Amino acid sequence: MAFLFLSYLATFACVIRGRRSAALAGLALSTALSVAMFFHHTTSGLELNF
Amino acid sequence: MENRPLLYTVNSACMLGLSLVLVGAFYFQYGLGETPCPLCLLQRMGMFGVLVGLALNTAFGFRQEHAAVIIGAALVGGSFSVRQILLHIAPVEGEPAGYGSAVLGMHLYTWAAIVFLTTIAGTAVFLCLTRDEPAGTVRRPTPFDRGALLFVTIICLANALATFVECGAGACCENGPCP
Repeated sequence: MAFLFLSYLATFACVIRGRRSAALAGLALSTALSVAMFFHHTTSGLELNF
Repeated sequence: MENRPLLYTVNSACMLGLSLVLVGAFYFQYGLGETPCPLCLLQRMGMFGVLVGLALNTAFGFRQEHAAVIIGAALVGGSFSVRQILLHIAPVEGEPAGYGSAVLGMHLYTWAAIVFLTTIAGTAVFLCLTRDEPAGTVRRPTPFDRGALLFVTIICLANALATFVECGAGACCENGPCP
């Protein structure tokens, strides 16, 4: 899951560098990946449901 | 009518406040030795989504799109929190209620849900108080704004490193990397 935090970090880097469109795209990608990980967790097994 | 500088200061203060919540999560992780669960990490990501929206306000001025980003991220993070609340809503007899330590009688995921709800309510207030900056606006943030933005970025980097140490590059299970 560390790569998900890295995608948010890249989004912050885009904000700091003044690239608004890239930041919005990065956030959309990060959120989509987070939701995908959530569904992976909720459908894979009980050991992931914490 | 221009947006008052005070509103941008409040925006940055909200960034710092939410960052301190994430610092508090680090206290539970390293101070109390409670390894964060997968859903806990996902809730942190929801908070970073909210922080991205606040950072967009700092860098490019108040825009309705940024408010939409904040509300959307809060809804996603709030969904993760509610999922975890529902998982522990009916404790098994003889086993500890909830997951992890409680703060003021509520577990961290319940507090996270409250934070996300408060974020949505706060954004509604901001939408009433602010006006859209013209398209293409790039603000010159104050030192306080820049400090808040840098602090948030450092906390995000710290989360990436901590998660890598805990789970490696893959998915996390209850107590570390998935087998």
